Amino acid sequence: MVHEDPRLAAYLDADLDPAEVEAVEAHLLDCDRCWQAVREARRGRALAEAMRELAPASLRDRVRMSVGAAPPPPVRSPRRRGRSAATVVAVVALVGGLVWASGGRGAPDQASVASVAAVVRAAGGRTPPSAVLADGQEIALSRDSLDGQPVMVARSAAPFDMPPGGRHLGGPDTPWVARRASMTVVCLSGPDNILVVADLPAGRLLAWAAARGTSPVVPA
Amino acid sequence: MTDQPFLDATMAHLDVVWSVARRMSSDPAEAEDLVQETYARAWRAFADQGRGDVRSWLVTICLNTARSELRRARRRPVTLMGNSELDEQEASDDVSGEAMASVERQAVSRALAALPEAQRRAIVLVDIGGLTAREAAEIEGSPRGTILARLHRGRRQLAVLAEREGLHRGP
Repeated sequence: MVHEDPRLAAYLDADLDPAEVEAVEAHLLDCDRCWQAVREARRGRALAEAMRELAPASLRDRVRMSVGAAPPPPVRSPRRRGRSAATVVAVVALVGGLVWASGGRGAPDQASVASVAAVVRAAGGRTPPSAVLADGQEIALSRDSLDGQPVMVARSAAPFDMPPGGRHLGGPDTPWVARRASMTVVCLSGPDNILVVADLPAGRLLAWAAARGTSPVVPA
Repeated sequence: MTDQPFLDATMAHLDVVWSVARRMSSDPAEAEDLVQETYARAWRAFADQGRGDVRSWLVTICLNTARSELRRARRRPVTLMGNSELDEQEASDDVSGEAMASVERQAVSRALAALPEAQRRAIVLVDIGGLTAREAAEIEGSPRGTILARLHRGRRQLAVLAEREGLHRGP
Protein backbone atom coordinates (compact mmCIF):
# COMPACT_ATOMS: atom_id res chain seq x y z
CA MET A 1 0.00 0.00 0.00
CA VAL A 2 1.56 3.28 -1.04
CA HIS A 3 0.09 6.67 -0.09
CA GLU A 4 -3.40 5.97 -1.43
CA ASP A 5 -5.91 8.72 -0.63
CA PRO A 6 -9.03 6.55 -1.08
CA ARG A 7 -7.59 3.83 1.12
CA LEU A 8 -6.67 6.31 3.86
CA ALA A 9 -10.14 7.90 3.70
CA ALA A 10 -11.77 4.47 3.92
CA TYR A 11 -9.53 3.69 6.90
CA LEU A 12 -10.58 6.88 8.65
CA ASP A 13 -14.24 6.04 8.04
CA ALA A 14 -13.85 2.44 9.25
CA ASP A 15 -14.87 1.27 5.80
CA LEU A 16 -12.20 -1.40 5.32
CA ASP A 17 -12.14 -5.09 6.11
CA PRO A 18 -9.86 -6.26 8.94
CA ALA A 19 -7.04 -7.37 6.63
CA GLU A 20 -7.00 -3.97 4.92
CA VAL A 21 -7.05 -2.17 8.26
CA GLU A 22 -4.03 -4.18 9.34
CA ALA A 23 -2.22 -3.32 6.11
CA VAL A 24 -2.99 0.40 6.41
CA GLU A 25 -1.90 0.52 10.06
CA ALA A 26 1.32 -1.27 9.24
CA HIS A 27 1.95 1.31 6.55
CA LEU A 28 1.12 4.23 8.84
CA LEU A 29 3.71 3.06 11.36
CA ASP A 30 6.40 3.38 8.71
CA CYS A 31 5.19 6.40 6.76
CA ASP A 32 5.24 9.81 8.41
CA ARG A 33 3.63 11.40 5.38
CA CYS A 34 0.53 9.21 5.53
CA TRP A 35 0.44 9.42 9.31
CA GLN A 36 0.29 13.21 9.10
CA ALA A 37 -2.24 13.00 6.27
CA VAL A 38 -4.57 10.87 8.38
CA ARG A 39 -4.21 13.20 11.37
CA GLU A 40 -5.02 16.18 9.16
CA ALA A 41 -7.97 14.47 7.51
CA ARG A 42 -9.33 13.45 10.91
CA ARG A 43 -9.15 17.07 12.01
CA GLY A 44 -10.90 18.21 8.83
CA ARG A 45 -13.63 15.62 9.26
CA ALA A 46 -14.23 16.75 12.86
CA LEU A 47 -14.53 20.35 11.69
CA ALA A 48 -16.99 19.39 8.96
CA GLU A 49 -19.07 17.21 11.30
CA ALA A 50 -19.31 20.11 13.71
CA MET A 51 -21.14 22.02 10.98
CA ARG A 52 -24.16 19.78 11.37
CA GLU A 53 -27.01 21.84 12.72
CA LEU A 54 -30.38 21.28 14.28
CA ALA A 55 -33.12 22.63 12.07
CA PRO A 56 -34.87 25.68 13.51
CA ALA A 57 -38.08 24.80 15.33
CA SER A 58 -39.94 27.24 13.11
CA LEU A 59 -38.80 25.33 10.02
CA ARG A 60 -40.11 22.06 11.46
CA ASP A 61 -43.54 23.66 11.85
CA ARG A 62 -43.34 25.26 8.43
CA VAL A 63 -42.58 21.95 6.70
CA ARG A 64 -45.37 20.14 8.55
CA MET A 65 -47.84 22.83 7.66
CA SER A 66 -46.86 23.00 4.01
CA VAL A 67 -47.12 19.23 3.62
CA GLY A 68 -50.47 19.21 5.41
CA ALA A 69 -51.78 21.96 3.16
CA ALA A 70 -50.58 20.34 -0.07
CA PRO A 71 -52.97 18.14 -2.04
CA PRO A 72 -52.28 14.42 -1.63
CA PRO A 73 -49.96 13.03 -4.29
CA PRO A 74 -51.72 11.24 -7.12
CA VAL A 75 -52.08 7.50 -6.73
CA ARG A 76 -50.99 6.04 -10.02
CA SER A 77 -52.35 2.91 -11.58
CA PRO A 78 -49.40 0.90 -12.87
CA ARG A 79 -51.48 -0.95 -15.45
CA ARG A 80 -53.08 2.16 -16.83
CA ARG A 81 -49.89 4.18 -16.95
CA GLY A 82 -47.45 1.64 -18.20
CA ARG A 83 -46.10 -1.76 -17.49
CA SER A 84 -46.79 -3.47 -14.21
CA ALA A 85 -43.98 -3.53 -11.69
CA ALA A 86 -43.85 -7.31 -12.05
CA THR A 87 -43.24 -6.98 -15.78
CA VAL A 88 -40.49 -4.47 -15.18
CA VAL A 89 -38.82 -6.80 -12.69
CA ALA A 90 -38.87 -9.51 -15.34
CA VAL A 91 -37.43 -7.20 -17.99
CA VAL A 92 -34.78 -5.93 -15.60
CA ALA A 93 -33.84 -9.50 -14.75
CA LEU A 94 -33.71 -10.35 -18.43
CA VAL A 95 -31.66 -7.35 -19.44
CA GLY A 96 -29.42 -7.63 -16.39
CA GLY A 97 -28.87 -11.28 -17.10
CA LEU A 98 -27.88 -10.49 -20.65
CA VAL A 99 -25.28 -8.06 -19.37
CA TRP A 100 -23.84 -10.81 -17.23
CA ALA A 101 -23.97 -13.26 -20.10
CA SER A 102 -22.15 -10.79 -22.30
CA GLY A 103 -19.28 -10.34 -19.91
CA GLY A 104 -20.32 -7.97 -17.10
CA ARG A 105 -18.22 -8.18 -13.95
CA GLY A 106 -21.03 -8.63 -11.46
CA ALA A 107 -22.19 -12.01 -10.27
CA PRO A 108 -25.62 -12.77 -11.68
CA ASP A 109 -28.49 -13.51 -9.37
CA GLN A 110 -30.30 -16.75 -9.96
CA ALA A 111 -33.50 -15.05 -11.09
CA SER A 112 -31.62 -13.18 -13.82
CA VAL A 113 -30.01 -16.32 -15.14
CA ALA A 114 -33.28 -18.23 -15.04
CA SER A 115 -35.12 -15.44 -16.87
CA VAL A 116 -32.52 -15.19 -19.56
CA ALA A 117 -32.38 -18.90 -20.02
CA ALA A 118 -36.16 -19.12 -20.28
CA VAL A 119 -36.46 -16.33 -22.83
CA VAL A 120 -33.58 -17.56 -24.93
CA ARG A 121 -35.02 -21.07 -24.90
CA ALA A 122 -38.44 -19.73 -25.88
CA ALA A 123 -36.84 -17.83 -28.73
CA GLY A 124 -35.38 -21.10 -29.89
CA GLY A 125 -31.88 -19.76 -30.39
CA ARG A 126 -28.62 -19.40 -28.58
CA THR A 127 -28.21 -15.70 -29.10
CA PRO A 128 -29.95 -13.11 -26.93
CA PRO A 129 -33.35 -12.05 -28.29
CA SER A 130 -33.64 -8.69 -30.00
CA ALA A 131 -37.18 -8.16 -28.77
CA VAL A 132 -39.61 -9.61 -26.26
CA LEU A 133 -43.33 -9.19 -25.75
CA ALA A 134 -44.69 -8.00 -22.41
CA ASP A 135 -48.30 -6.99 -21.75
CA GLY A 136 -48.82 -7.17 -25.50
CA GLN A 137 -46.19 -4.50 -26.13
CA GLU A 138 -42.92 -5.13 -27.89
CA ILE A 139 -39.76 -4.29 -25.98
CA ALA A 140 -36.75 -3.91 -28.26
CA LEU A 141 -33.46 -5.10 -26.78
CA SER A 142 -30.00 -4.08 -27.87
CA ARG A 143 -26.45 -4.29 -26.58
CA ASP A 144 -23.93 -1.49 -26.33
CA SER A 145 -20.86 -0.63 -24.30
CA LEU A 146 -19.80 2.22 -22.05
CA ASP A 147 -16.47 2.73 -20.29
CA GLY A 148 -15.54 -0.79 -21.36
CA GLN A 149 -18.63 -2.25 -19.71
CA PRO A 150 -21.44 -3.96 -21.59
CA VAL A 151 -24.74 -2.10 -21.46
CA MET A 152 -28.09 -3.62 -22.32
CA VAL A 153 -30.84 -1.34 -23.55
CA ALA A 154 -34.58 -1.95 -23.59
CA ARG A 155 -36.89 0.40 -25.48
CA SER A 156 -40.65 0.51 -25.54
CA ALA A 157 -43.48 2.77 -26.60
CA ALA A 158 -45.05 2.31 -23.15
CA PRO A 159 -43.34 3.57 -19.99
CA PHE A 160 -41.66 1.21 -17.55
CA ASP A 161 -43.02 1.57 -14.04
CA MET A 162 -40.51 1.56 -11.24
CA PRO A 163 -39.98 -1.82 -9.52
CA PRO A 164 -39.87 -2.21 -5.72
CA GLY A 165 -36.67 -0.82 -4.24
CA GLY A 166 -36.20 1.76 -6.97
CA ARG A 167 -36.28 5.48 -6.42
CA HIS A 168 -37.12 8.48 -8.52
CA LEU A 169 -34.49 11.20 -8.80
CA GLY A 170 -37.14 13.84 -8.27
CA GLY A 171 -40.90 13.81 -8.73
CA PRO A 172 -42.97 10.89 -10.05
CA ASP A 173 -42.27 11.68 -13.69
CA THR A 174 -38.51 11.89 -13.33
CA PRO A 175 -36.04 9.11 -14.19
CA TRP A 176 -35.83 6.26 -11.73
CA VAL A 177 -32.87 4.19 -10.61
CA ALA A 178 -32.80 0.71 -9.11
CA ARG A 179 -30.15 -1.83 -8.22
CA ARG A 180 -30.27 -5.53 -9.03
CA ALA A 181 -27.34 -7.57 -7.71
CA SER A 182 -24.33 -5.52 -8.85
CA MET A 183 -26.25 -3.96 -11.73
CA THR A 184 -27.60 -0.44 -11.93
CA VAL A 185 -30.90 0.02 -13.72
CA VAL A 186 -31.80 3.45 -15.04
CA CYS A 187 -35.09 4.28 -16.71
CA LEU A 188 -36.02 7.45 -18.55
CA SER A 189 -39.46 8.25 -19.82
CA GLY A 190 -40.19 10.57 -22.68
CA PRO A 191 -41.30 10.22 -26.27
CA ASP A 192 -39.24 7.04 -26.24
CA ASN A 193 -39.05 5.00 -23.04
CA ILE A 194 -35.62 3.57 -22.39
CA LEU A 195 -34.34 1.25 -19.69
CA VAL A 196 -30.61 0.58 -19.46
CA VAL A 197 -28.70 -1.86 -17.28
CA ALA A 198 -24.96 -2.04 -16.59
CA ASP A 199 -22.40 -2.48 -13.85
CA LEU A 200 -21.75 1.27 -13.73
CA PRO A 201 -22.60 4.20 -11.42
CA ALA A 202 -26.12 5.55 -11.81
CA GLY A 203 -25.04 9.07 -12.77
CA ARG A 204 -22.80 7.85 -15.56
CA LEU A 205 -25.49 5.56 -16.89
CA LEU A 206 -28.14 8.25 -16.64
CA ALA A 207 -26.08 10.72 -18.67
CA TRP A 208 -25.38 8.07 -21.26
CA ALA A 209 -29.03 7.04 -21.49
CA ALA A 210 -30.16 10.65 -21.78
CA ALA A 211 -27.90 11.03 -24.79
CA ARG A 212 -29.45 8.01 -26.51
CA GLY A 213 -32.24 9.93 -28.11
CA THR A 214 -35.01 10.12 -25.55
CA SER A 215 -36.12 13.33 -23.90
CA PRO A 216 -36.13 12.56 -20.20
CA VAL A 217 -38.07 14.57 -17.67
CA VAL A 218 -35.32 15.55 -15.26
CA PRO A 219 -36.01 16.90 -11.78
CA ALA A 220 -36.96 20.54 -12.21
CA MET B 1 -53.28 9.32 1.14
CA THR B 2 -52.77 10.89 4.58
CA ASP B 3 -49.55 12.79 5.20
CA GLN B 4 -48.81 11.09 8.53
CA PRO B 5 -46.83 8.11 7.13
CA PHE B 6 -44.80 10.57 5.08
CA LEU B 7 -44.08 12.79 8.07
CA ASP B 8 -43.24 9.77 10.22
CA ALA B 9 -40.74 8.57 7.64
CA THR B 10 -39.12 11.89 6.80
CA MET B 11 -39.23 14.35 9.69
CA ALA B 12 -36.59 12.43 11.60
CA HIS B 13 -34.15 13.46 8.86
CA LEU B 14 -34.99 17.16 8.89
CA ASP B 15 -31.77 18.10 10.70
CA VAL B 16 -29.68 16.30 8.07
CA VAL B 17 -31.57 17.93 5.20
CA TRP B 18 -31.25 21.29 6.91
CA SER B 19 -27.48 20.86 7.43
CA VAL B 20 -27.01 19.96 3.77
CA ALA B 21 -29.27 22.80 2.64
CA ARG B 22 -27.31 25.31 4.72
CA ARG B 23 -24.09 24.34 2.92
CA MET B 24 -25.82 24.58 -0.46
CA SER B 25 -27.40 27.98 0.17
CA SER B 26 -26.08 31.46 0.56
CA ASP B 27 -28.17 32.33 3.61
CA PRO B 28 -30.55 30.75 6.13
CA ALA B 29 -33.69 32.07 4.45
CA GLU B 30 -32.66 30.46 1.16
CA ALA B 31 -31.83 27.25 3.02
CA GLU B 32 -35.30 27.21 4.60
CA ASP B 33 -36.90 27.61 1.17
CA LEU B 34 -34.71 24.79 -0.13
CA VAL B 35 -35.76 22.48 2.70
CA GLN B 36 -39.43 23.28 2.19
CA GLU B 37 -39.16 22.63 -1.54
CA THR B 38 -37.29 19.40 -0.85
CA TYR B 39 -40.08 18.14 1.37
CA ALA B 40 -42.74 19.28 -1.11
CA ARG B 41 -41.08 17.26 -3.88
CA ALA B 42 -40.55 14.32 -1.56
CA TRP B 43 -44.23 14.37 -0.60
CA ARG B 44 -45.30 14.31 -4.25
CA ALA B 45 -42.98 11.38 -4.95
CA PHE B 46 -43.48 9.50 -1.68
CA ALA B 47 -45.66 6.77 -3.16
CA ASP B 48 -42.79 5.83 -5.49
CA GLN B 49 -40.09 5.92 -2.88
CA GLY B 50 -40.33 2.20 -2.16
CA ARG B 51 -38.35 0.83 0.73
CA GLY B 52 -35.06 2.54 -0.02
CA ASP B 53 -33.09 4.61 2.45
CA VAL B 54 -35.20 7.68 3.22
CA ARG B 55 -32.31 9.87 4.38
CA SER B 56 -30.30 9.27 1.22
CA TRP B 57 -33.44 9.85 -0.87
CA LEU B 58 -34.16 13.18 0.82
CA VAL B 59 -30.55 14.36 0.48
CA THR B 60 -30.64 13.47 -3.22
CA ILE B 61 -33.81 15.52 -3.72
CA CYS B 62 -32.27 18.39 -1.76
CA LEU B 63 -29.14 18.39 -3.94
CA ASN B 64 -31.14 18.15 -7.17
CA THR B 65 -33.38 20.98 -6.03
CA ALA B 66 -30.35 23.10 -5.12
CA ARG B 67 -28.85 22.41 -8.53
CA SER B 68 -32.00 23.40 -10.37
CA GLU B 69 -32.34 26.52 -8.23
CA LEU B 70 -28.75 27.39 -9.06
CA ARG B 71 -29.37 26.87 -12.77
CA ARG B 72 -32.41 29.08 -12.54
CA ALA B 73 -30.47 31.77 -10.70
CA ARG B 74 -27.50 31.77 -13.04
CA ARG B 75 -28.84 34.86 -14.73
CA ARG B 76 -28.11 36.87 -11.62
CA PRO B 77 -24.88 36.89 -9.62
CA VAL B 78 -24.90 34.21 -6.97
CA THR B 79 -22.27 33.13 -4.47
CA LEU B 80 -22.94 29.52 -3.61
CA MET B 81 -22.09 29.02 0.03
CA GLY B 82 -20.51 32.41 -0.08
CA ASN B 83 -19.71 34.93 2.57
CA SER B 84 -23.12 36.54 2.77
CA GLU B 85 -24.05 34.03 5.43
CA LEU B 86 -21.23 35.35 7.53
CA ASP B 87 -22.94 38.69 7.90
CA GLU B 88 -25.76 37.23 9.84
CA GLN B 89 -26.44 34.76 12.52
CA GLU B 90 -29.94 34.02 13.62
CA ALA B 91 -28.87 33.43 17.16
CA SER B 92 -32.35 32.69 18.40
CA ASP B 93 -32.71 29.75 16.01
CA ASP B 94 -29.13 28.52 15.86
CA VAL B 95 -29.08 25.97 18.66
CA SER B 96 -25.82 24.53 17.35
CA GLY B 97 -24.09 27.62 18.67
CA GLU B 98 -23.67 25.64 21.87
CA ALA B 99 -21.61 23.05 20.02
CA MET B 100 -19.27 25.43 18.27
CA ALA B 101 -18.57 29.07 18.91
CA SER B 102 -20.01 31.31 16.25
CA VAL B 103 -16.63 32.60 15.22
CA GLU B 104 -15.35 29.07 14.69
CA ARG B 105 -18.38 28.15 12.62
CA GLN B 106 -17.79 31.14 10.43
CA ALA B 107 -14.16 30.19 9.97
CA VAL B 108 -15.05 26.63 8.99
CA SER B 109 -17.80 27.93 6.74
CA ARG B 110 -15.30 30.14 4.91
CA ALA B 111 -12.85 27.25 4.66
CA LEU B 112 -15.58 24.96 3.25
CA ALA B 113 -16.57 27.60 0.72
CA ALA B 114 -12.97 27.81 -0.44
CA LEU B 115 -12.73 24.10 -1.28
CA PRO B 116 -13.02 22.87 -4.86
CA GLU B 117 -16.67 22.11 -5.65
CA ALA B 118 -16.26 18.33 -5.94
CA GLN B 119 -14.45 18.06 -2.62
CA ARG B 120 -16.98 20.28 -0.90
CA ARG B 121 -19.88 18.21 -2.20
CA ALA B 122 -18.25 15.00 -0.98
CA ILE B 123 -17.80 16.51 2.48
CA VAL B 124 -21.36 17.86 2.53
CA LEU B 125 -22.77 14.46 1.59
CA VAL B 126 -20.66 12.31 3.91
CA ASP B 127 -19.50 14.39 6.87
CA ILE B 128 -22.46 16.74 7.12
CA GLY B 129 -25.20 14.70 5.45
CA GLY B 130 -24.11 11.49 7.13
CA LEU B 131 -24.19 9.33 4.00
CA THR B 132 -21.71 6.55 3.36
CA ALA B 133 -19.11 6.96 0.63
CA ARG B 134 -21.02 4.37 -1.38
CA GLU B 135 -24.29 6.30 -1.10
CA ALA B 136 -22.50 9.52 -2.05
CA ALA B 137 -20.98 7.73 -5.04
CA GLU B 138 -24.47 6.70 -6.19
CA ILE B 139 -25.73 10.25 -5.92
CA GLU B 140 -22.73 11.79 -7.65
CA GLY B 141 -22.49 9.13 -10.32
CA SER B 142 -18.82 8.63 -9.51
CA PRO B 143 -16.87 5.55 -8.37
CA ARG B 144 -16.61 5.08 -4.61
CA GLY B 145 -12.83 5.46 -4.83
CA THR B 146 -13.22 8.88 -6.41
CA ILE B 147 -15.50 10.01 -3.59
CA LEU B 148 -13.06 8.69 -0.99
CA ALA B 149 -10.17 10.53 -2.65
CA ARG B 150 -12.18 13.77 -2.75
CA LEU B 151 -13.10 13.31 0.88
CA HIS B 152 -9.52 12.75 1.94
CA ARG B 153 -8.12 15.71 0.05
CA GLY B 154 -11.03 17.93 1.02
CA ARG B 155 -10.75 17.11 4.71
CA ARG B 156 -7.03 17.81 4.73
CA GLN B 157 -7.51 21.04 2.86
CA LEU B 158 -10.31 22.01 5.22
CA ALA B 159 -8.05 21.49 8.22
CA VAL B 160 -5.32 23.60 6.65
CA LEU B 161 -7.69 26.38 5.60
CA ALA B 162 -9.42 26.44 8.97
CA GLU B 163 -6.08 26.76 10.70
CA ARG B 164 -5.24 29.69 8.44
CA GLU B 165 -8.56 31.16 9.46
CA GLY B 166 -7.31 31.17 12.99
CA LEU B 167 -8.72 27.93 14.36
CA HIS B 168 -6.37 26.14 16.68
CA ARG B 169 -5.01 22.79 15.73
CA GLY B 170 -6.80 19.95 17.46
CA PRO B 171 -5.18 17.47 19.79
